[in-house]
Amino acid sequence: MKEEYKRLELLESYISGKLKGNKKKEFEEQLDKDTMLKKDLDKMLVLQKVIRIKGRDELKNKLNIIHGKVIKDKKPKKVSNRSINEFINSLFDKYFSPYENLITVRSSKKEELQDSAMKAYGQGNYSEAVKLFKKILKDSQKNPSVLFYCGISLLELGKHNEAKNKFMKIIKLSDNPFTEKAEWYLGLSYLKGYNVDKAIKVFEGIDKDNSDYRTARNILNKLKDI
Amino acid sequence: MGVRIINDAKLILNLKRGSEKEINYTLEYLYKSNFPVIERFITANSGSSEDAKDVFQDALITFYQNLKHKDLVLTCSISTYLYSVSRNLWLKKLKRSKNLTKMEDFEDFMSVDDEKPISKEAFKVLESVFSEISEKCIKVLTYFYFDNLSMKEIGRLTGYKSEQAVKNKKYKCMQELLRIITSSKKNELILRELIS
Repeated sequence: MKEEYKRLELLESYISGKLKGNKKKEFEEQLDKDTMLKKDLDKMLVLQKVIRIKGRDELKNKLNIIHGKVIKDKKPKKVSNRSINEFINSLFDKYFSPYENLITVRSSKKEELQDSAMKAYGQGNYSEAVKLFKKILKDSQKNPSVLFYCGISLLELGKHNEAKNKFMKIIKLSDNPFTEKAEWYLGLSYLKGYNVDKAIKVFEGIDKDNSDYRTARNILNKLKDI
Repeated sequence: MGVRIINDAKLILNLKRGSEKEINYTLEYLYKSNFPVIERFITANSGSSEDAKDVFQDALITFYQNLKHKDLVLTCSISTYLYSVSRNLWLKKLKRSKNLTKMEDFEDFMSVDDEKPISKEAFKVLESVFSEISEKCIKVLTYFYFDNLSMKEIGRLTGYKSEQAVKNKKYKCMQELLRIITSSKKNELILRELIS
């Protein structure tokens, strides 16, 4: 571990410009000779870049919420004096509920794991459910029902980013019985993360045939007040 | 929020060394005090309210990043700085949209800071990659690389008891992020474009 830490720190100090003089020269000479080192440097650069972009994006989300507050203060107040976040929270609480488990219990050994997971889900034991769902997903990454219930459990636990990932996967798969509901829950996941713009986009994309179309429209109307 | 005026030095201190609460409060204050003026400038110069929002937010983010990373020292007021950055950004955007068909004006495609604008595709990949790591990892990594906080401060914000614990977590998260990126050749190639 220590060796790898040192390597990481060396790369970081080079990239940030903290490495100077002879040490810098030595490093650059090594860089010319050692292709592994060059590869590691590139990987590090990609990672740092990607993290900065993510950080910037999160800051932008924050600013969007502030923007909403600032604009709202100019308009006549339609929403009460509660803060935007409280409003979004109450909106989420109003519309989110875990989907009822309609899968019947099976008896083969292979499905034991799924049964335990669905049992935990049904009992409201979401952390346990997530653990078990993730186990199943290790072997069958594209199982839509497992992805679906895992996503809802994650959302119950407040893990909206991970939940989002599950629902997106379902939507990417070819038409399956969970696609429509996954769109709905994806919108709710964005809402949970206070990502109003993305939530709006998702809810707007919900088809007229989708059973959640009306509720999605209701939410959209409320969100547009923000 | 009170109507009282906070001086620039205090605002800068809050952003550089303040708690999450102080930073949020400061951003809101800067937004309220500076957005209206900049919105007026942009809408008076062929821009929409949406343009004003984008440009102002970019300017504010640039200010934040320069403070945190490049130890920015202002020789003018924050308002003047934000106004200048916004104005420059907007004028560049205007120039770019007029010259869209001329290849020799390729220079105009570069944004104000040395950051290359990122493609929608790359951003989608980025979103999917990040949705696969834990919230805690995202926090630790962005606090370190984006907010440029010290190990101590990160520990305080994330509840880790020692600097070494933060270092360990950061290392693990980096490895995890790397694993996810390299698990798909396609994604890896798309993200590599970002450093070219």
